[in-house]
Amino acid sequence: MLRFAVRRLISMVFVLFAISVLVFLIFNVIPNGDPAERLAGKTPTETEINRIRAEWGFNDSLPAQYVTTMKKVFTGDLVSYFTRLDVLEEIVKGIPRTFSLAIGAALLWMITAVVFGLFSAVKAGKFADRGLTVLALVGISMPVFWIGALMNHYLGFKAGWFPNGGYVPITENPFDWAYHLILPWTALAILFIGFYSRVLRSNVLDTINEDFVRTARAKGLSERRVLLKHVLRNSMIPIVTLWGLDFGAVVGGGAILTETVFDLQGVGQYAADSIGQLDVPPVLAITMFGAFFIVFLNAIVDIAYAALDPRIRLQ
Amino acid sequence: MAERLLTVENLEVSFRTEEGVVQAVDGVSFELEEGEVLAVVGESGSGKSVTAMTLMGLTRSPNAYFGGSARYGDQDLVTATDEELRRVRGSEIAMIFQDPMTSLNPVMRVGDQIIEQIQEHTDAADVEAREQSIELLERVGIPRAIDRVDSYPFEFSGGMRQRVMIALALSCDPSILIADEPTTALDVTIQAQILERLRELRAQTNAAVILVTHDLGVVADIADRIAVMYAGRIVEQGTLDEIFYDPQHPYTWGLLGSITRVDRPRPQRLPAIAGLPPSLVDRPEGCHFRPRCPHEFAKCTEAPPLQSRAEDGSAHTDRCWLTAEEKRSRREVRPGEIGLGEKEGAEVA
Amino acid sequence: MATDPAATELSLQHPAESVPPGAEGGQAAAGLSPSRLALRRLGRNRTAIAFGVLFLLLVGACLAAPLWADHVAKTKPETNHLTDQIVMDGKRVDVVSTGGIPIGPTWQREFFLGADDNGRDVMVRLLYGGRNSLLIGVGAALMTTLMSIVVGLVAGYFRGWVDGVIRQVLDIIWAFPVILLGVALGVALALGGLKLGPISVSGDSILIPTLVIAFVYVPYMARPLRAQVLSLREKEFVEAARAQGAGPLRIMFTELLPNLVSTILVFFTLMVANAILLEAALSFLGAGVRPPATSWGTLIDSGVDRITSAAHLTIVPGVMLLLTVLSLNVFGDGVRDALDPRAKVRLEH
Repeated sequence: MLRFAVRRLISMVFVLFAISVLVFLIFNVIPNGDPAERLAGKTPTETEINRIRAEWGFNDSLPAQYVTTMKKVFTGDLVSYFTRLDVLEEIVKGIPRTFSLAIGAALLWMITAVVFGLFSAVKAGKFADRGLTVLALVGISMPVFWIGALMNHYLGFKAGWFPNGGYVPITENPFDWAYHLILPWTALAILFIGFYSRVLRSNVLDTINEDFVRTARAKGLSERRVLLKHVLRNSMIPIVTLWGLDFGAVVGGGAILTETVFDLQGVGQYAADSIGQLDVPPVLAITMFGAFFIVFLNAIVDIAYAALDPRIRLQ
Repeated sequence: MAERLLTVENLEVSFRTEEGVVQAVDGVSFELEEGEVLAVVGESGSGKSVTAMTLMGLTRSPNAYFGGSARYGDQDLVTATDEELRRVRGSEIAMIFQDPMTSLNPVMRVGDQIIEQIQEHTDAADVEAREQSIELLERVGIPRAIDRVDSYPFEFSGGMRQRVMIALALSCDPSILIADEPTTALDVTIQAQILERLRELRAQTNAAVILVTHDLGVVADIADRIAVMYAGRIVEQGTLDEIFYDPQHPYTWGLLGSITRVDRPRPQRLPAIAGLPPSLVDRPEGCHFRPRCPHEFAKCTEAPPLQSRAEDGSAHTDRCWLTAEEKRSRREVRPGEIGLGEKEGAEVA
Repeated sequence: MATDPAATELSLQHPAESVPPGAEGGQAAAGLSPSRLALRRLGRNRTAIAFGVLFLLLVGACLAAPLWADHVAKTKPETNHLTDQIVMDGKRVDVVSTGGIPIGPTWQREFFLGADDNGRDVMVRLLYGGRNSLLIGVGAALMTTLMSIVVGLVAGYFRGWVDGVIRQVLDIIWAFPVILLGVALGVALALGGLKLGPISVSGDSILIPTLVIAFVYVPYMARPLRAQVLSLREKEFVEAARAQGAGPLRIMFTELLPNLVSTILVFFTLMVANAILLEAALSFLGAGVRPPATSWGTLIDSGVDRITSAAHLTIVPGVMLLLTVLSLNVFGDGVRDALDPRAKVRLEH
């Protein structure tokens, strides 16, 4: 198990390196035009452009540029030329908010999807199943920012049942913190519930027909035990890995839309605002850290998968 | 006189599918006595597995329809509720399945799977159940059982896995053991070991066994009685000796004739029963075997009932309109050699 | 056993599953090719067909945007009607009230779905925006499909270091969450456009979001295709083709590609749906379609800004988007069910 984990972490380092190169290419190399001008913002002066060029080493060779860029990103030496704010500081301020949103939504969607998916599978073909399938399909067909905006407007602003966006840190007031997050959690979860409940349904239906489930029934085990200990346990394994990947994706950038709509001022919203301004340094940094987080989480997920499925780790 | 455990009467099982209604089991009747081994023999599609599974209620689904009865004690397994069936399964009637590779839960330790069954039907404590499971593994011949009880199924070979399945089946001391093609997925050498083990265990526990198989060779060693099935019906039923030495139905002749013999000169061509088994959706009228039978005649368009043609009305029954003398004369393709002979114009496999 | 091995196998795990047509031995069952079977199954799925038709209607409506604009609404998408008035229920109403609030849906020929705060006809903008959204969605999906087929075939067929490199590149792209990568690329390319050798694309062209979306989704399709090619490659028919002297290109296109068709079809419908959603998300954030061009995403974006005063500006494009993607998803589901020979639960309708 340990050897597996170590191998996995080593390959992760390699991927991280490759990602940093890719991000560097995306922002500084691929686009047409002068990178210094791009960074400088909407109405830059000549001196500013030159200063930026020197600071980032745009006259140097590509590898040297890469090193300079990486140094700036990882030592927190990044400043937005628009807002004059330190990029890393802003990111750190946004992290707890993004995490609050991601973790709550992830738990909500997982539990709901398992319940819906299992229920759907057990009642396969019947009306309840068809109904849930329709709901799931609608869920995955909706843009999350749209439904979020509508929920915020009708349930928050008009009906007043929920606060109209905004964020309260958990350290200030846990209840208020949760209260403000209920709508965002739901909006973000809807899409995933739709997707995961269908995947789980499909896995469960596959598993239910497996030989070992027949054996379990032949042993005289109660249907509940067969479903939970045998069917679900086996169907969940691929789901858990997917969940880990999606959670990483949400934190690493997927939350961007929900945060914007609900004004949570997390990392995602910071990215969104910067995009609107075409302000490159924050987007560069967030992309880098986001991707890193995801790769790291992927490695953890792989290791967890090995822990869950003995066939993987013992071979 | 041994106690009669199971009485199956006119069992019918059909499935509704996209292509129509599939009649898998078409009026099957037999009895099982304490301690005896009944072999149910037939090719794929004959309905033998469906019959066995139906006894445990494992074929129940929204698309399945049942008829007839299977009386066990004071219950009818065909109409029993799910809860009643659940109590019987694993504790009084246990089953061993064909493919040991896929029949065990891959992410659960072998010991836990046995313990689970024991604890479902008895109130054994964890420690007790664990000891019992180790003992069971030893009984079925798994070496170092005390270590292996914590292994996962994929850490065992096919033969070992099948032994685990047997251990599982025997864990609650069932009175009936149903073995559905227990050796088909295994090597020939392992087959022999498993059958040997089954025979020993049967002697120890006096459980009755229903052995479902397509292999007459397997049957010869272990069965007391044999029921030959074709296209959903039992076409012949009798003791081991009766079936092997005095077979009455042409299909049985075909089965016996197609066994390769090491004590006879090699034939030019491997004898086979010509033709293909019938579609279970669209069945031939009358005797199901008629299209492939070289001895068919006009009466065969009427379905023959299962009855004894012998004068003394013995328990050896068959489903063929031919008279006893006709059978005796037609069943030898060569002197001393039982076989089916060729049907004119039919394709040979 | 020398009976014909091509016997009917009744699968007990799927009692609802049909006996495979053509294997109903004895009779000559007309074998239908897999694609005909799939089409037949799809045809029976009325819901899928209905939604497929809905999708086509929506596409048709968007493509007919100029017709609606010129003949029904009698305006252009960019024409402001800030100071105009229209007649509703016999009364004259301001298109945009003095407080800056535009009218909601009138269900009349002009301003069928209302106006935005510049007095522009929402329905006209919706249809024109839909053209872009659909063009980008379908275009991106086509590009992704093409690239994935090439990448998957090359990686899966040649294996070795070629596969190693491709796989690593795919993994890296895949490591990015779709939105993040799309946004990053969208922002970077919006600023300066794209220059690939002789071809240069302006930052404002809708080709940019199309390329970005296509690129981002490649791993999601290429990886499964590659996996399938890897397993297909080992099959006998490929070996046979190679023995006949077929070169890699011929094998890839005449042997491997036809077997990938069902996977490709299923993925393609999913891709279009996802591409449309991604475009909306990117445009909403400002990293997709750039003004003055419109798309459903940009419409929702401007709508959300004014949601408190004119909710219809948000609701209308969103519902349109939802219906389009939903119909694609339902139809895609139907395609998947029709192509999958082992549907999980299949009952007669």
